[in-house]
Amino acid sequence: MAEELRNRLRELREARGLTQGQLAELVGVSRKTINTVENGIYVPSTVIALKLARALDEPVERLFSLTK
Amino acid sequence: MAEQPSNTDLADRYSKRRARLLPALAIFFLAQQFSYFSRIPGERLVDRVRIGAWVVMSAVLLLLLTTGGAWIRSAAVRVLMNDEVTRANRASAMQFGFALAMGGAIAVYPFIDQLALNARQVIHLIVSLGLAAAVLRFGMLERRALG
Repeated sequence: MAEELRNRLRELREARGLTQGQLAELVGVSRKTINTVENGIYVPSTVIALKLARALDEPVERLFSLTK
Repeated sequence: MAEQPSNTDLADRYSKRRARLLPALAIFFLAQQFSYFSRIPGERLVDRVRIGAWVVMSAVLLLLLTTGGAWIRSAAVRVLMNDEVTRANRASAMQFGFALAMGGAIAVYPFIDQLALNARQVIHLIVSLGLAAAVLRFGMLERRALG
């Protein structure tokens, strides 16, 4: 069975009381990018994944994980 | 004094506008082609205007698709409007448009004689099909991305 990429972006963003727009601003991307990543529509590049982790002050592995 | 919207807010606003506009433009463009093929232009002045209008509309749609539009906005806003999600959506839309244009060309090819189409009309058909499909798909992918 193929592995699936899961992310905890929404959960970690909401835990910090940030809106999608505020996180987008911190990362330097559009709100659309945050929305598509949170909903699993888009798998971000390594650069965006690292920027998201840095903005949320979390290791990238806590943000993204592979599940079977 | 009202607070100035951030570049992220502006990019979001213009992206939503673009996502609404593109499918509408693609449908309008397709509707025009039905009228074109229902009365194929000849050599009159009015026919030259119709052909010219198609060239202009096609070029505008192609520019909108390839550059993302919002040409009068600041570079920072345009960068946000065309970030990696949009670039991925655009690539997917262009792939779809290309496949449809090629499929259309392959489907028409054996019947060129029966359809009695000249070179201009065949080009018109294939470009219209590919362009409208790509613009429509780009707009729909952007709408989905904006949530």
